[in-house]
Amino acid sequence: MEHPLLFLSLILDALGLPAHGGETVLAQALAPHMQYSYLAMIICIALAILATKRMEMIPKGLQNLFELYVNWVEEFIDEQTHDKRKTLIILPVMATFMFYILVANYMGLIPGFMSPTANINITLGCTAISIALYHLLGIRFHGIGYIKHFMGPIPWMAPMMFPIEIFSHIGRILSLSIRLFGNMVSKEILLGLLFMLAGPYLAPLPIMFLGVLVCLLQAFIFFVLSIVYSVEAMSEGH
Amino acid sequence: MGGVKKELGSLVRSLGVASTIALSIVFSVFAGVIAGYWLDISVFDGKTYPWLTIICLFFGIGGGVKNFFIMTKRFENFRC
Repeated sequence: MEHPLLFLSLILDALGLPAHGGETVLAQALAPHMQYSYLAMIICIALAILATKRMEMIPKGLQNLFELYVNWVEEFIDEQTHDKRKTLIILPVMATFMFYILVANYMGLIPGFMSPTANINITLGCTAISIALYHLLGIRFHGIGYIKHFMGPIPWMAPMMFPIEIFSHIGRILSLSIRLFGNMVSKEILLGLLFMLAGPYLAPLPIMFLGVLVCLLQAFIFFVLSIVYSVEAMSEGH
Repeated sequence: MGGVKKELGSLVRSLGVASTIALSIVFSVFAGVIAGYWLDISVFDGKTYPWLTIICLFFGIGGGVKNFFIMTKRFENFRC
């Protein structure tokens, strides 16, 4: 398969920087998925700054949109926690996850750009943040008693429940990261194959349509699962 | 038009829930098997070969069922 055309890589090539991955630290920090991840971060931060630059009592334009979004996220989390304090603790992280992954997913639909989430390193990084967050929240809310979450309801079954819980947590890491990565990369590979086999015009259109749905769905699922795990860790043990 | 939109939204959401639950079970079982195989082959040099894999497979299945219960409990609250 031909190498895909990526605008940011071309710009970095023109500047004489290593833009296609490699062994050195600089080349790895400037690999294509990293470039587009930086771009997604810049878009998120720029939109947030633009929306909050001129705050008004009666919001309009971008501020209105962002207030709607944050309000929706807050209500959504509140339905799960039923506790305003817990909601406000996890609200910033969850809203950022959803927004960043949404921007990163949709970037892949523009020609000349790629989805950073179509690389396992990016999704594994997001997953690591989510997993570390809910374990830290569990320790913060229960102290050393958080270990009771791993022991099951009945004391004499604890030695058997402990490995089961460990594997269920490893399964969470794998399913969170590989689901997002797999969906995005499968969409990109399918699009590439159709471009090669069926010609560039109308043939990839159905997959493009499915891609639009899948991008939204995967961002939503990552967001929901992070909330579910955090709420589970913060709630009382068995 | 509103009804169609609502139906599509609920369809997308239940698609997400279904695929999520299925994958969480699969990956938990997978983690169990991989960990058991690694213990057998690398840690104990293949002396215990099939046994730790089988035991960890069952632990993995247990973990999958546990994930399944957590998710079904939580997804009940969503307005599907």
